[in-house]
Amino acid sequence: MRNRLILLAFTFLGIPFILQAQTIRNTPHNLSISGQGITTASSASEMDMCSACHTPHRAVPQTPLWKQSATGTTYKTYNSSTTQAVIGQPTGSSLLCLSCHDGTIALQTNSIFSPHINFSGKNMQSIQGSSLSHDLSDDHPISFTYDASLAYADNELVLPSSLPKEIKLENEQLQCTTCHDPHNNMNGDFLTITNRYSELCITCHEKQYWNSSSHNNSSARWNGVGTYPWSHTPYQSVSENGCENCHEPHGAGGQERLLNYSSEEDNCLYCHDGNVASTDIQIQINKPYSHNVYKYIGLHNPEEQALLYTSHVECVDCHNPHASTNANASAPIANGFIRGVKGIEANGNGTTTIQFEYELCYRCHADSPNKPASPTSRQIDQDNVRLEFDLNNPSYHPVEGPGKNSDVPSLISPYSESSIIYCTDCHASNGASSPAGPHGSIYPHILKYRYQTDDNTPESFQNYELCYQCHERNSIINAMGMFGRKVHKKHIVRENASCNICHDPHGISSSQGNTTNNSHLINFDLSVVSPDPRTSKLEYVSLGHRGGECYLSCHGENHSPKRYR
Amino acid sequence: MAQNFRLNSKKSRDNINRRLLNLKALKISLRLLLFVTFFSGIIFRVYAQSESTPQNRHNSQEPSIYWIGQFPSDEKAIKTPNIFLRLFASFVGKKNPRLIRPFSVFMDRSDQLWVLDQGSHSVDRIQIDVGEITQLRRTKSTGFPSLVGICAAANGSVLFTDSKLNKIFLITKNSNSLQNLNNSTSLNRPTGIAYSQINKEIWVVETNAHRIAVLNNDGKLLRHVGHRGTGPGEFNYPTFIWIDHSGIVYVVDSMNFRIQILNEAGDVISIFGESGDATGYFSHPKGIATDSQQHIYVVDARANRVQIFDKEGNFLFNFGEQGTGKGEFWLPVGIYIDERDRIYVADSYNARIQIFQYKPGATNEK
Repeated sequence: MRNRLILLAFTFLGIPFILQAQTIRNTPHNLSISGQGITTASSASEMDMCSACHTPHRAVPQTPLWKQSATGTTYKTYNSSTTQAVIGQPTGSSLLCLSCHDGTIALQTNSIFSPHINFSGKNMQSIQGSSLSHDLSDDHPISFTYDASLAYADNELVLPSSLPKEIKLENEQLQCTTCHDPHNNMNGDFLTITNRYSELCITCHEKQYWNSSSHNNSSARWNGVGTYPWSHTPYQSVSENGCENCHEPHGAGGQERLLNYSSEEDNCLYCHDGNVASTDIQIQINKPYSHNVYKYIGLHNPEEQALLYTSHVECVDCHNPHASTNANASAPIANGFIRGVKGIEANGNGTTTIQFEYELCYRCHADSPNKPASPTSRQIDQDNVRLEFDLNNPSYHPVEGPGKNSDVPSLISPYSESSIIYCTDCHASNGASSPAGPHGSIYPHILKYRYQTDDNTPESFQNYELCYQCHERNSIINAMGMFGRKVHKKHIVRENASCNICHDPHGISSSQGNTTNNSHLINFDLSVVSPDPRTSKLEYVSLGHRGGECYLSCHGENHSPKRYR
Repeated sequence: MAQNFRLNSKKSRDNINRRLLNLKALKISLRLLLFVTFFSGIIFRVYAQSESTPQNRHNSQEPSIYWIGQFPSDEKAIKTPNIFLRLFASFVGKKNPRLIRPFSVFMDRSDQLWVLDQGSHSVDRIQIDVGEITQLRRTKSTGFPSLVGICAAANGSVLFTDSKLNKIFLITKNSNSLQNLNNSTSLNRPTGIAYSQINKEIWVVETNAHRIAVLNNDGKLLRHVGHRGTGPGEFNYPTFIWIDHSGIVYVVDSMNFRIQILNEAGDVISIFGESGDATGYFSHPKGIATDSQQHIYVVDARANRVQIFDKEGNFLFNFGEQGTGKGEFWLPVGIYIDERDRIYVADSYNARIQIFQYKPGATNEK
């Protein structure tokens, strides 16, 4: 009995502390002079702390003297004006918040809301497309209807019926009070649910792949160098910041999509500069040949088609930050870094989720009308790399599938005739310690190693370092008997002709070439090779295993034809 | 930190005045005017008061408020004055500024409307007769994070506050430069600002310090008025301020839900108002101004209305309710009344300035 009494006493003793913790009294929302008001507190009588927001109802209105007949009006201050609301204007209880958070009584750090902003994905789209770019939507939208049809339309929103009890809608509308409980500051920022590990965001936003992504799971922290990346949260690791690594629910510099910064790449490179993420992508982008994401601003649109029409490159054209992981894969399967991104399949159809890495490259380097042109002028000209790598071609490097040639003795193990390679095995940042992927290189075409294409290049391992990664140098220039001597050694070593002059490294499209004239990636560089003056032919003819003849003129030497077997 | 910005070329500013004053002639030529404005791109259209305006249904013997116009008057016209300019703009990618969230408003003597726009983070100067907006920002890429109060100061200069930067900015007449009034004066969230022509003093409200700082023309602090509290001369989150031509100061003591009227020295003359939702009470009082008859106009953002009191605090009249139509408001904030008794209200979430006219009654009540 005595024990129970003590327990009871302690229970009651505890109550005031609990109450104090959960009421508005000790929060910044106590604007009465009893509040933790900044500066001096007066001993004067206390204003009712509720009336800062809750206007007392006056049943007896004052009568306007100018209209003696009029009787004055009692206003309903809590009117829900959804029916007359112009879309995007704040309604309901949000009006109450905004009338203080306007830079006077409260600062606007957490309450700037601009009119005429529509929410659902489709409408955002139309805003981007129109000239209404002056609409600053740097805050999470409020006062819009969040119902099942919106959830279905967005496809990445939780159904309103499954929201937890802390998340409240007001007449089906999302208001300030959905995320903020103005009476309770237990979670900081008056949040209804803490946003550590993005708990608050993900109660509504169900982003595909997010749960397993690195941005959700990485425990990486800032190394203390450069700019501190998480100035708008109290959290100090990638996983704790979650969505807020890149997004800011209020006052976002990037406005649309509430990104931290208006330049797309800044949202990535402030961490991916070696100071949070282990690799420095920024330094790669600044190399002379790069996918220069700094060059384009405001062209990328997340709703854009898989096939890219407006020429640009942003980090998010190749990476889906909601999906990226550091999972490895084997060619041609796309690895975790490029998980969940759009691409063009080998047959030319668009896909929202690539399966193979090359599908991503084909967004811009295949059927895109603004694709970069091929750097070498060849007898068969083709800028569409999808057509160059097609498995029906007479010859191609094995990107979509194993190559055509079943006898390639130069291949260095583990490569074999049945190997498949990535685009990024050749096109990647140079440097042994550089992160994978074609971010930037000191070599043209973002090649991982040196690949000299000029005529009169002395043969050396360094000059054809790229080719010699897979094709063993000694095997190319010294082995294979007569073929090696008469063809490779003769041209590459003695004549200083670049590999690139006879070989087209990507492949020759089946619509333009054939197995007789274009096997072994033969497609001559027209700036060096010209037609044979006697026969007027410019042609390679395959004569079977390690045999062939050429009709051409090169280095003043007419081949009309020259044959090897 | 002086920055350059482009000054507006002189326009025929007086045109609009004549139009407004000559309302009868306007009524006759209304159709012609609309026709002309449509084709010439003049976007400030004046609607002669229509019989259906609620404010107009009373006896004309009584003083009254008329809705006379708004800026922008037409969404399409504001984009560009004419098709060629629009085409040109589409080539050079120039965006035409427009109001986004006007917060405070001020009309200078050369009929230039000044608007503090918290949406575009810029100070907008508007030639209302041509609808041309000149936006002033701190630099090309940085705006003002939290513009609040604006007023005229000595020699035709204009002062405005930014409550986040804790600064008062000064634009001198005919100069192209924007300068800090006084870098060494430290202010704690300056919001409302007013200038006493009588004493040549700048009164700026420090909301977070619950007091008013009185400065001289150079921005040097002369004295503080008030401190936190609920008694006379004490403030709890004071916000907007107005000084009339006789030097009397009107302060919105927002979280005490009252108006305090002070003399030039800062002593209380009278106090009125309390919290409540009915007419004559305050919910979230914002901008304040007086007309030529010393009527006090107080904007209430929460109630979406403007209430008019006499200087004893008697409730005289109110207008406005929540909505997007003429005379309706969506979180109105700033108010300014010029010497012609034209009332400018910053209708913030309707992205416009609404303009009303006060007309004294045939028998003036005072």
